[in-house]
Amino acid sequence: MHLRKIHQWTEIRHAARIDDASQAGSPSASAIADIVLGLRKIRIAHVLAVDEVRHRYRRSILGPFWLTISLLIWLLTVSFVFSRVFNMSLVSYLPHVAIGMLAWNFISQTLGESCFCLANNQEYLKSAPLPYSLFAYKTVLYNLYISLHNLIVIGAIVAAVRGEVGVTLLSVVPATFLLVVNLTWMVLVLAMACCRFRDLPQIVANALQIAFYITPIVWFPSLLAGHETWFLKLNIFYYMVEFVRSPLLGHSLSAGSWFAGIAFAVAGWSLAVFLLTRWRSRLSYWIS
Amino acid sequence: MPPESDDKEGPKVELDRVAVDYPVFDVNSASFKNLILRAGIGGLIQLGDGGATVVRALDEVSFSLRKGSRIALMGHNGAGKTTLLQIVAGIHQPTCGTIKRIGRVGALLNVGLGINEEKTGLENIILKSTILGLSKQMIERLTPEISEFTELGPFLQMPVRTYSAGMRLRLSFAIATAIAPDILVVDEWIEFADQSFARKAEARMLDLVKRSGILVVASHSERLLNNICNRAIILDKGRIIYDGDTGPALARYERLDL
Repeated sequence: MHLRKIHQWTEIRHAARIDDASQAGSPSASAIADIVLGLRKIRIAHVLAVDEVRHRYRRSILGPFWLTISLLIWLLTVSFVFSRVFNMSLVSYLPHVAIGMLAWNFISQTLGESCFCLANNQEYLKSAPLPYSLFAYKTVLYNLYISLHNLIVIGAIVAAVRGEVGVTLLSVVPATFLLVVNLTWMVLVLAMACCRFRDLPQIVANALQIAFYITPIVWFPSLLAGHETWFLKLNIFYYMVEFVRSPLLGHSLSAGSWFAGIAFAVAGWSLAVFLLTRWRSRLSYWIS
Repeated sequence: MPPESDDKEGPKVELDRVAVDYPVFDVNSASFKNLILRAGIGGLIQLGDGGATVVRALDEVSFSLRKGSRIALMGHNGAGKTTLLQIVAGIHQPTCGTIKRIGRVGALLNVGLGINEEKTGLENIILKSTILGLSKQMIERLTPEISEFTELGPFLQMPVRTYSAGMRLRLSFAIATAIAPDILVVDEWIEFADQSFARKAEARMLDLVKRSGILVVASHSERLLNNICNRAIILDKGRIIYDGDTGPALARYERLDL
């Protein structure tokens, strides 16, 4: 068993060197080589992502900031109504929903796009043996860059309202990284599954809508006091949103949140490798 | 796994009893809802090509290419030429059998594949080269050379959607052959080039294979066959029916019509 492992790692390294994951030998070695090669070629993902952001700017001067403006209007309306519903001051409600929505937009838009990230790039996939994971990374990067536009505006508002900067703010870097790690396996899994099952994008869109309501974005987890909270503890999106929101609002993340985030990442990436092992050699046929 | 020393022998491609099945999904077999429903009624969950009709495009295809192999791939429409090229290029993986490939592939399978219509020729050169894995410095160095080879001049500043088919072909060919690939895979569209560019392209292909490696080109052109290739493979219904010298190949191919 141990010897087989070592053998596989040599195979993967070999495949990475000759630049083709399909030449790694066994299907599982090919799957891991695909993920590794995609990371090695991350510059390509970055160039494609920046190119798409630029394309947005080319169509209008404000570019992605148009999305920020519509988000702002949404935020002000929701804050106006729900701060009254929950009987809270606007100053304590607005930052919660603003950052929650910033994180949720990033997550939901990335997952929505993930369904088409292989199909939309089939031109590239048909012209060279590229790792599939590369296009998952590209989808995450593109949406991350768009979200940074939102962060500038929303961060400014939150800073103006709260006006405090603590040490906990720094933990936003590792926490966001963990969010991205989790998001990436989801993108990879959905990207593959949507090539095989054509009705999956619709199901994903519906699931995201439901996820928005069961995740504390416009509401507070504390409002659940005295009720069942299992659906919150098992909700990966809750942790992903909190990874951005808690540090930016000056709360420190609990050890439980970190643990849950890491556990979901390990389980999710295992699923991604499992599906990539089974599907990698068939993906090119499903796309066309 | 091949040890390091194998690489130094130069590029090679080895196909061993390769078969390819194309899945053709209908609405039912491509549906996730139906998969769940079937599982609910007690059916098996099939995550692979389950439920799809399968078309065999290649069957029992074996050959071995070494440095200096210059193959002309012949056969009727639907004989499996393009599929075989895609297998050699690593774009598709075989359903059965194995392929071993050593060397960097340059593939010219379709005019304008991976070319963005809205971008200018020059922007496409940079983007496509990036995707092919060239570094920023390499691209800066190679761009003038690529531009010159296309002979497109001021048109390189125009969006590709304004290009004619021949102009697109020039652009794609120039990009794909900018850095000598070890294994060059070319589909038959290269024959649609005008006379002057066809000669130029042939010269470049010949130069590339002489320097490094392997050429696989789908073609029925007698000139291309005689000028460039040193071996011909004829496919019929996904099987190899001829593999050998180029001389008798044309005659054999013409007999196929009867």
